[in-house]
Amino acid sequence: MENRNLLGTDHIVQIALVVHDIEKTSQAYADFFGIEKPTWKWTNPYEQALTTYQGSETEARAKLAFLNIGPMVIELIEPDHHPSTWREVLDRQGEGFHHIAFRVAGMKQVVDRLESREMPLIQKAEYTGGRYAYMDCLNELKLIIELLEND
Amino acid sequence: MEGITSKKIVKLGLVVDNVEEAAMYYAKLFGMEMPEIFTPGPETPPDPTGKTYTWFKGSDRKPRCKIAKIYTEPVYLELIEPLPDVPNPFSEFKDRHGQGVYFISFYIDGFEKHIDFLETLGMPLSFKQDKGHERYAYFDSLAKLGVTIELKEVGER
Repeated sequence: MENRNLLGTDHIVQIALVVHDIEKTSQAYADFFGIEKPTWKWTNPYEQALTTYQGSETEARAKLAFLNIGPMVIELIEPDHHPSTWREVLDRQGEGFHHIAFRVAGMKQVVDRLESREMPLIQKAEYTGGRYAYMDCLNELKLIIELLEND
Repeated sequence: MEGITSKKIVKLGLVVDNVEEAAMYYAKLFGMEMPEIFTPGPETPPDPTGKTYTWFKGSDRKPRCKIAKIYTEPVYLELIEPLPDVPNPFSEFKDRHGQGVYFISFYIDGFEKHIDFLETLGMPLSFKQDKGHERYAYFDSLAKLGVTIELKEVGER
């Protein structure tokens, strides 16, 4: 039977927020959940990440922290000032929600399926062990979806 | 208290202009049946006994919202279209931020002690409602956590 699910999954693996100060927000989450403050690390530089944003190469990087709470991960993102979807959302909306993420198989096909339905690619890059793509689903779904594909 | 009593996110709440349209797009995305749309009944007067109540910026009227649930895993999505006739936190969010994710939700034990706990963390209560069989609250947590927190307690008091 044909799978009519465009993503091939309905399993949300991450909820991600953009913030101005990752240390401060990490501490606030640690206090809220009563857990250790997570450490953060930079995303890879362009030479490894090969990040493109709106079709152009960008040197953008971000500090990332991950809070593992139950079956869900909350990702905190503090972007630098190079062009990126993180910076754009932070400047436009202020601190807050950025995306929900799904793990997919066959990244290119999923991106093509969404693009053919007016949900265009915004940004993509490689990370150690896989790649991500952000899809602009704001008109239809009122949010950005991140696709994650691990090797 | 050292942290809230549950670390499991139950749902994400999205405020939308048109719940039928948003639900249709989600149904197409996930290849699901179109979900049922819950439409609120007519407004009822506040409970004179005070057992059930609404508290929002001086208003004791119950917000009226059209709602659809999208059953993703392990958290589901609640699409909320507030009807603008009653003051409500959903319209306030939409006016400020536009459509999108408004809150993440946790089910907790101990409603009042959680309200106190969040206040000590600098996240004051912004809305609460007690329906008798359950009660829920929103907190002004955007500056601290980057998202609004909903806490819900299920069960009679």
